[in-house]
Amino acid sequence: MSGLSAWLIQRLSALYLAVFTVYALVRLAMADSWSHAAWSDWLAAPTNAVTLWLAVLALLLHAWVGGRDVLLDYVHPLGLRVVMLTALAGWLLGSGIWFGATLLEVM
Amino acid sequence: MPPRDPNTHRKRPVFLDLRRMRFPPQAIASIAHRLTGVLMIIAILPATWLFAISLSGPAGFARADEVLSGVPARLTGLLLALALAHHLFAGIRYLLLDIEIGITRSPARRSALLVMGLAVIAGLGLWWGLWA
Repeated sequence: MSGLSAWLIQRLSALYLAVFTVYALVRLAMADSWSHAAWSDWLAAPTNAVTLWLAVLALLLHAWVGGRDVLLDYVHPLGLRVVMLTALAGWLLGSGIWFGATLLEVM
Repeated sequence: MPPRDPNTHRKRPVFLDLRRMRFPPQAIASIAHRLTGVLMIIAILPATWLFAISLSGPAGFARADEVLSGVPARLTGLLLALALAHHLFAGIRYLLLDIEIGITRSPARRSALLVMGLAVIAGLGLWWGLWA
């Protein structure tokens, strides 16, 4: 993913994340108290689950494009660059798979 | 053969004394946008861990609650709340600059200062809302 498609993905994911993050954080901050049951039920509700799946997808794409740009700008030795890009990809993919497995169980 | 341009043979001045360089607000907002992005990338995996244990059962939920109530999590939370607020406002500013709103120097300078002011207020507010 590079050039125009990366540029476009970065901006589309930014728009989605801006709306979702504000909604989710205000919702979390407004709640009086959470229990395990309330928390799982809230995530299992279809609207919340679908918007969260999309948000995680947007977050991982956004983090990859942004993190890759930062690494390409500042890490010049080729070997180190490859190692760090691989680590970034693993960090994001690992998080995504772990998150997905967790949310699938709740749904 | 054209006459040689004396400029191409002059040694260019190099000035890289970070203590004496003065960055305009636009540059500070830009580097902060990168720094806050990197910070939040680092937070993704620990956040996923918290998410996973909070849903593993009532005991795991209590464990996540305990971790989040601790002083290290509160301090990290403050840092991340400020980072998120800055990244969000600076990002909105870049989207506006993309469509050439506020693109000239003076509005760009003011909006960079505005982003930093809003980020501190919203970041503290978010942290207060989540932890207090």
